[in-house]
Amino acid sequence: MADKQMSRRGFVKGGLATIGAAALAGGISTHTFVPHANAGTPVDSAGVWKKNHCSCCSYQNCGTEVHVVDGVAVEVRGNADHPVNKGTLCPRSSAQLATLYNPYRVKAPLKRTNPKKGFDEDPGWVEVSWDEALDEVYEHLSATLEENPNAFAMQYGFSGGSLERNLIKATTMINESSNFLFSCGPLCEIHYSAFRFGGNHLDKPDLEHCRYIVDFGRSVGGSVMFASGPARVLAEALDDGLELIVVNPHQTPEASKGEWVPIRPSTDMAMLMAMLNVIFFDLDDYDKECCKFRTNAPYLIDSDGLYVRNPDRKPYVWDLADGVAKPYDDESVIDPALEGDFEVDGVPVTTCLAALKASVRETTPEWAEAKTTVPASTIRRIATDLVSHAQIGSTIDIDGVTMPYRPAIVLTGRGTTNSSQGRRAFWLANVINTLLGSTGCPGGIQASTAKEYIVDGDGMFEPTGMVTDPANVNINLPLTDFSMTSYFPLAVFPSVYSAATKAMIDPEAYRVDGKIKCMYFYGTNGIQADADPEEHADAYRTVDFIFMHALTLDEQSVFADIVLADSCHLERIHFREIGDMLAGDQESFSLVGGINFSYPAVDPVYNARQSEDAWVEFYHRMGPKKTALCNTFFSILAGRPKMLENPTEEYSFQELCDIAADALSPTGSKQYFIDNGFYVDPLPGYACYDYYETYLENGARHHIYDHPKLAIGKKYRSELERNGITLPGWENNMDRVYGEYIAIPKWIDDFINTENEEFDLLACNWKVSCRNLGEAMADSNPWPREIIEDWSIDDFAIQLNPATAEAKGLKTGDKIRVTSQHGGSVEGVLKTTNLLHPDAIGFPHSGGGKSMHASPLTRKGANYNLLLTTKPGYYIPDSGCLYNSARCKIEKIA
Amino acid sequence: MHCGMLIDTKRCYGCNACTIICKQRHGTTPKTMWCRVYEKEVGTYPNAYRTFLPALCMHCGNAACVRACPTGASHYAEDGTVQIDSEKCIGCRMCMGACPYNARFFNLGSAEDNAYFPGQETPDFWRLHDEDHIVGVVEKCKLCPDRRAENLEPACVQACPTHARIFGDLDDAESEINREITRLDTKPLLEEYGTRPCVYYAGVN
Repeated sequence: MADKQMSRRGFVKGGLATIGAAALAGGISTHTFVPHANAGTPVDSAGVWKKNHCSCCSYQNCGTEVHVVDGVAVEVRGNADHPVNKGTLCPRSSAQLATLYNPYRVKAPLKRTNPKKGFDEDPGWVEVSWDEALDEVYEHLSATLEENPNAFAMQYGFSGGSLERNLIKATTMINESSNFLFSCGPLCEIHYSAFRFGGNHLDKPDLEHCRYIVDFGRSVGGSVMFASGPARVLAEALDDGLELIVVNPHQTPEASKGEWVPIRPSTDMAMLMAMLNVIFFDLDDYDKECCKFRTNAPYLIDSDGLYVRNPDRKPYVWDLADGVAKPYDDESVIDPALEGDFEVDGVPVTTCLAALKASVRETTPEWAEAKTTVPASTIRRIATDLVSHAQIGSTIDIDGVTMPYRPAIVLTGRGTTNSSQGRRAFWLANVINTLLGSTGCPGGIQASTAKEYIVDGDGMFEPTGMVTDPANVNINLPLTDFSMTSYFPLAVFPSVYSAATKAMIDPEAYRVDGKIKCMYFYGTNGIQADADPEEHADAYRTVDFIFMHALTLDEQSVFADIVLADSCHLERIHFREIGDMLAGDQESFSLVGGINFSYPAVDPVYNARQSEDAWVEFYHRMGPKKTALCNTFFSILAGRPKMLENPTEEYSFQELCDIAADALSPTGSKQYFIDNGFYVDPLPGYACYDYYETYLENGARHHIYDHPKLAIGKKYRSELERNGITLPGWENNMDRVYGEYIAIPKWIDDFINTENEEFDLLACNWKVSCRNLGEAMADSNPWPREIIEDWSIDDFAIQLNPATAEAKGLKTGDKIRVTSQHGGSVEGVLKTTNLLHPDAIGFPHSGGGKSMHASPLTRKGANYNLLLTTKPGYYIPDSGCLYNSARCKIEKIA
Repeated sequence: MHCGMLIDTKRCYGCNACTIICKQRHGTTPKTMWCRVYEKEVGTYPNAYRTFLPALCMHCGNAACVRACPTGASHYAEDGTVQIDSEKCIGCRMCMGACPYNARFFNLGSAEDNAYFPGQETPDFWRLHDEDHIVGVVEKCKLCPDRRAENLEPACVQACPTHARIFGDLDDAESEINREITRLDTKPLLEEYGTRPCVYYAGVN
């Protein structure tokens, strides 16, 4: 690869597609198709094998081969030459032909004939020509943009990730609108701590070296099967003796491979605080060398919790060798104090570590047992085993580079992070990892070899993808867009979806001077993903014109005026960087930065066109400025900013992709990708570990004390007060809002973890392999749905522990209604299972679709999200995310 | 050559990639699961856990189905597998009653009656498989003879994300499958029936 730096750092994840490219698809294999031996022959032609890659989850790392006979894709299998999945496939990828050939796909452009919009209104779809559909869309779009770019909004979601097209992700940027609304955002608390400690979306355990994992609320890769390495490496690690402790209200498939520690939902943070208590006060055993020189543990803070700085604004540490305060990076610092009370310029100070330690002095395992139901002895044992497995002080040689070896970690995932105090729980988990010295080291947590970060003026590792500097927290009224990030400075996405929806309905309350007149949906189903479908309906009804690209007539289509039939994975050109995996080994870490690049395997099955094609046509019609922006963003997103000779040339999408393929190919020709489907240039082993780059090369330190959050909170408060406003809806509860901006997490008794006799059960929800996030039309796919319904414990039933059911006079098969403390309710059939905590009520999947024109399969099951809320006062106030749990009551209805 | 398979249940997480790749590879109709995974809850809270048992035709050396078949449709192939000659099958289903592994399935209706998308036109993918699944005939796992003809493993073996399955030649003492059968504590299912299956399991109590 000619430009390694750019390919690894500058390549934004995405794949691309175009219409009319099928003729270029190729890669005739030496394999021939042999008809079934002793049955009728399904095909009598040998067909061809074409290289491709999978787009059925957010990662898109796995290589595939597609067998095409007479223009029909008859088989998809893993590409055995692809180093990521090594020929294997997950259940979702194995099922993708039932999406490609799904008759519930949108088969042609559609236009609404019934102007009334609502879940009970039939839009009265009629098929129209592509010319008519695109002309009508263009008329509304161009008129809106001409008047005010912020009158245009795009709503984007996880299925955009699964059918990734990177040019589509640039839609709002090219159109100069700030309204990039993320429907996957309400549940994305999970990314905050991963960003802050790693500069990327998720923590990855190094399963090759790790020997002890305490897993809170996530899958390491086996429970929600990923063929891209995590599951394979996990299976091998367990064979080699990895101890896996799964702390979860729900007994996951992975828990069956290790030890299940059932915990009362939404109390994970209490157990983490107790583990920290044991580490500090029972064991006094953590990586003190790491704390001194690779964290802000020794930084001095005043009584307000802020760093005490020298005149150059550098935080002080107290050097015990000389008995004086020195800037943290002073080369004469020999032994920075981790604890103690000192005085600097007459100001009493202490250390960040001392403050952390004081915060957990009372949070003993016994204290946590009362909240979590996890026996104190179990918490003590796990914390002790974690520390002993960390082998503090040991080192390992990786390709000639000596690094700390720390094979013990705490992992945290969505089940924990999106629940009560989840963001703080994830933070504490990473604080524990950092205290053990395992953050970034072999055996520990890795961020990504493609992480985006800086080392700030305080010497700290900070992600570039989110606000960490208080100087960037500004609220200027009136707001001119609907992103709502002014109210949520610590949001991890470019918008806060639930608040944006409320602001669309009542702009004045949110101090927005403006209105969305034209809106575009892509890969999104916020109606099902968020808590209040009717609120979304009200918001969409305020928009003059809505259009969307769609694979199926889902809930969002209920509010569209024009639906453009989108192409499915195997019908398009798509390319994407080989990126993060959920977990891995050195080999899989080394592959990050490679490229999957696929040309269409088949012609469009229906009258569908690839979405980018329409957008490129729009940009050309808008003129040279938008054409140049389109070309520029495409080039940047492809990782080759200077690949186009003439930025204002009207390249078709096909041409843009061909130029990108040539530029990204090691041979300089797209033919390489047609023949192989991917290119990897593995990193050297030592570069696979964050420690090498972040510490050895750049000297970055990690937080055990979230000083930026504290400082941002102070600036946020001053900005709100300067404008004389509050966070809308939280007028009487601003202490709760400001209370979230603290440097050290503390336990809060809130509406979920406070006992409530009427609503005595805690709802929880989890992913299953066959569905994952419901991406790529998974809920319309009959193969996984059949397995879920007929073969899985985690089917469409609502789960309850048998003892709880008996106490309530309920049994398996009862028809029940579950009502949440927020008023929402769902109905379903009860199943009792010992695989669930007695205080929990469990919902595998989420279903209960509302669209009358979607596959009937989507309407099965209950919509878990109806139990949740986005009401002000009841969501997570610093991020705008909703709690993925609620207190519930249950009643038998038949 | 005597085809055999080893399934290490310790490496199985019940994801059903095998089940679905089999459905894709062979275009079977709803409820017909040549490959499937039995998921079971064991124990009482808090000492409860789940087990996963991937299953397929065991391609027995002493197959109850072959003995029960009145027409010779079910037979042993030279590669040690059990196959069904659909032209000889009269649909009596004696074999289904005899098989202790519930590995066989009967086509009750036409492909259209049995469709995954009731009321919709049969999509191209399933239309191409129409003649694979003959009405009134029993069918089951064949161990992917067409793939084996190309020196490929059965589809379920290749797809498995955790490499829980090993396919190979039981006649070859040096084969990986024989080495692993010896190394791991393996056994076939229900061997007390004397069926002598060619599918071995590790991690099954």
